[in-house]
Amino acid sequence: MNPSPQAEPPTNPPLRPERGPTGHPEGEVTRILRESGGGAEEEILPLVYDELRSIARARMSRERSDHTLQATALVHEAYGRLLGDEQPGWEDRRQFYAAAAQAMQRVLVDHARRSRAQKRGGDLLRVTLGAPEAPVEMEGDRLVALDDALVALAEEDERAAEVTRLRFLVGLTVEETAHTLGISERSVAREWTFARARLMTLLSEASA
Amino acid sequence: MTSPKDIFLDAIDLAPEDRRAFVVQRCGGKKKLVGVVMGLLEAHIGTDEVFGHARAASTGLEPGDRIGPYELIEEIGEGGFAIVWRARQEEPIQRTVALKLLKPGLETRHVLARFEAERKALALMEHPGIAKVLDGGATETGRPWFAMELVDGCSITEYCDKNGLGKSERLGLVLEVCRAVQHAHQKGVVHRDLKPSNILVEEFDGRATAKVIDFGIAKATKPEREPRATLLTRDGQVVGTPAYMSPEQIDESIDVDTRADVYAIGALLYELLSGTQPFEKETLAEAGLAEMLRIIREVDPPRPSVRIGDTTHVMAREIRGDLDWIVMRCLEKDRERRYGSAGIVADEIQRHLGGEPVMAGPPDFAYRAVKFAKRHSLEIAFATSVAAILVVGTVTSIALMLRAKAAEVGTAVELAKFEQISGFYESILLGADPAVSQGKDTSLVLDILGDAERRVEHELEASDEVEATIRRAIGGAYRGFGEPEKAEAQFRRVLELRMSSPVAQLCAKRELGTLLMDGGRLEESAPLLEEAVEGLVRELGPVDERSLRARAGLGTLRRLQGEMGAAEVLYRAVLADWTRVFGEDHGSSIMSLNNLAVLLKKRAQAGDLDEAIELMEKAVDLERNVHSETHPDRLKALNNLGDLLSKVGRDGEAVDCFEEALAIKLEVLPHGHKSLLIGLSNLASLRQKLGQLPQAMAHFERALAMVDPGEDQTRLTAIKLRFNYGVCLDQAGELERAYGEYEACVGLAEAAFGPGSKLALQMEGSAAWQLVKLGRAKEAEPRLTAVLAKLRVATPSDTATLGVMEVRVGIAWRDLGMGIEAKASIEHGLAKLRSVKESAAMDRWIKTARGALETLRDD
Repeated sequence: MNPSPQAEPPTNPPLRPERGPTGHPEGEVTRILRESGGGAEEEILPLVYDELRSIARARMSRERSDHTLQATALVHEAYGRLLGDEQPGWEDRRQFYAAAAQAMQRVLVDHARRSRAQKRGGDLLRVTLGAPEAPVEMEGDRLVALDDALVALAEEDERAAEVTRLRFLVGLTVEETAHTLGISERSVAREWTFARARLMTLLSEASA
Repeated sequence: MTSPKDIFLDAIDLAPEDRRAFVVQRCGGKKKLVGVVMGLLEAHIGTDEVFGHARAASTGLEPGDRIGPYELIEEIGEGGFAIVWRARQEEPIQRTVALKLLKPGLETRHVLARFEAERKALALMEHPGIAKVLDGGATETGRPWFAMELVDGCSITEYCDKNGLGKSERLGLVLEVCRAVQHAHQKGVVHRDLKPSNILVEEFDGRATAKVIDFGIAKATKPEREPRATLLTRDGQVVGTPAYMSPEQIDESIDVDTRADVYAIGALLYELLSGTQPFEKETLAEAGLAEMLRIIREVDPPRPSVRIGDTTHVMAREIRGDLDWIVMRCLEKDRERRYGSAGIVADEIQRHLGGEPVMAGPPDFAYRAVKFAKRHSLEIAFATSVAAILVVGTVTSIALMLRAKAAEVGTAVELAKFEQISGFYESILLGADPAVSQGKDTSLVLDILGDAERRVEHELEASDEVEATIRRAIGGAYRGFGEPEKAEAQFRRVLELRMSSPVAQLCAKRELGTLLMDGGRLEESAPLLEEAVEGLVRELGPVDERSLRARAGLGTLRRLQGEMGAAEVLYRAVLADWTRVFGEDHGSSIMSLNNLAVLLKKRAQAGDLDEAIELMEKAVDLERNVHSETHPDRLKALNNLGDLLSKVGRDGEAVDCFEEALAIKLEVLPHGHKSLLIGLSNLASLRQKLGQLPQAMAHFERALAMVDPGEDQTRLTAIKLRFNYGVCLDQAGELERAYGEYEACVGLAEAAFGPGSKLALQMEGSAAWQLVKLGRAKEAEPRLTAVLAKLRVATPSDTATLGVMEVRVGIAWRDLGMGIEAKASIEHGLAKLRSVKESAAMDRWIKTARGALETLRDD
């Protein structure tokens, strides 16, 4: 994973309503997924990233009164737009979520860092993470700290970091996470338990 | 090397108080590693705040989903750790059930084990007042569930108010609740969360029936002993109903027992009779946490009749007096002063309904207690508990002695006091309080005896004869309650008294002699028993009951001294005399048969065992005519016969005997009684030996469900049972489950005896070995080598254990491809195994070691 999420993404995202039936991310993602036969995460990552960022931006500008982004909702919306009505196979879903997890981390942290850099006038980013029925609210500063901790965790234990991204940033349930990673629910629960504890210690080390 | 992650994840499965010891042990002295893991464990506590709590995991279930044969209809309830669905079954029968399943993400070994234990306990319950467990299993992902009878009704309070029930009808429903709760208590389950919403009333053919639901689930699914977990949620909000919570339930240092349910029943009665909870909801709500806890701990609510306020109110008039006192007795802050069980509360309610006096009463209630005891004095003979009989006998005889003495010296006041006390205790014991009869809580009884002893010492001004009789009674009771030193002091005092007839003194000598003999002090015992026999035979002749007892005692002494010939002569003579004088179906004649059989069994010369079996068969047969089906002597006889039969290889018949004995024990002994455990465990081992694994497992499971590993007296039994259960599972091919049991044993042994204890090391060795058998040698290897290193230091002379461990380590090495090291270790181990005494277990290990060496040679 790229440890420097500040790297600017390539271009301005196209506006949603202008999308046509072909040549757009919807078809593209599906095509990549279909043709890749695995390992498509890297390829679709920029597309998913663009999609997520554009949805996030639209939200931020539209809902002035409440600047709380729901990470899960973003992913679901991106999913719907990129894969459309096509019912992707299990392997495609897996790759999509894996990419979405990474993309989500970057989008959120980009937003957070940018709003911190702008200081005055910038939007104070607030995000809800985790499962939609039990959301955890997090502010920009903590989000950045969490990102650093997650980078450190990924270096020690990629599996635990992956579970964290899926559970926490994408909002997948234990079952969905297990399905996505192709491991047992019990393993997910264990990885998640460890990841949380380790992230806590990393966060407190960072703040100390 | 084991990573901090692995250690952390294993430790998380343990109860919080066991974690540190576990981590220290697993880290093998690496302080830094301990620090890292403990840091993770501490951090774990705060993770919910940052990452959301366990509920973030969705249930992942929707109406229409199937679990086992059930189709989910709708979610009807949710607790901290489980979810309840209304579900439908179509095949083989159509019915609607309540399906309870553990929430996902909570499948730690700890929670799983308790969920399962509770399901089993529930399955044991057969009571119309308890929602039945119908079925159980696990989802594909391993989440356990069970299906229960679905109760369609409303809460008991709602039902009573809606239907305008009067006092008697309300009491009738509470009576049903008490009986149901009592049934559960007998099966070893404490509800701990009894409250109106957990007691539903359902109408069948126009008749109202109370059913207790959610039985013990609070206990089963509470993952760890969090402080005040029953009272507070993580964000400090009060859950549950504080009004129904006994003071000890908010005190984390006290283990909650059946009396917490008695308290809750009291609160329920209070609400049903007075219309309000013992502490007004508003008062508690406004009080704030600290004040609320204080109220629950310290404030006595007004009596229900007073709470109603209007003294002319019909209900107030009806409940004043007896019912007030029954309720208040249930609500005592100090559980020692509550009724001992729900069954006693039921009896009290029944007595009240029948117009009989109740046991509870205002502080001057002693007269009622005496009245009660007199009405029931005949029932003493039927009390199932030997302990109860002993104490009642003692106290009664003290009272009788004092009565005689009072006539002598005229201290009628003292006599009256004693009568009150004895009557009162009699009434308690008649209630067959399980805590008392189990011998678990004998402090009350010992207090009575201590009090009696002091009075005899300082206040009694009677003749030496009277004093001797009382002291012998006290001494006998002390012996019965496992206080041999105190008993000895009493008997010795008797020997110092001057008596007109030597018989009492001789009897005291026999009692003291027997006591010392039981304590293994044979040399001191011998002159006493010899003098007793000689003196009693001289004074009373050889066939007086007292002489015969002394002669039998001397026979046992000779047997213990190894003088089998002398013992045999004495036993045979005593048997002949008892039979001739009192008939062959006299209790003592049968006891003599038993004694002789035991002797023959010990001696085990040619023909001895066959004669012993003959004698015991006769004894068991005669026993049927003499004692009730459930008499302790009958039990003993059955056990002895079973033991003998198994000795000569008649295992099938032996199992029959043990099963019969066990059935009696299950009937008469309180749940969890040591003797019950021994019975279950012996039978399980025998079945195991006979290869009847399913039966063996069922017995083990039953025993495990009733043993409390936290209890000092049973913790070793608990570990042994669990371990043997593991062996049984292993033999049945359930390697994974066996492994789980062994790991549990490690935790238990470490908690009970410390991580470095021999038992803990042996358990660790077995658990790790099981990993090897499961093909997980990599995980097992560091654990096995650590155990071996520690055992070498701790028990250098235990060649057998060390040999086994060396073989295990060697095989783990072989599996990891370290052939040379493996060969060396196995050969070392094999040499050790060959040097120790032969046994079946050693043979198996030697075979295993040889087999392993073979495979090494092949490679």
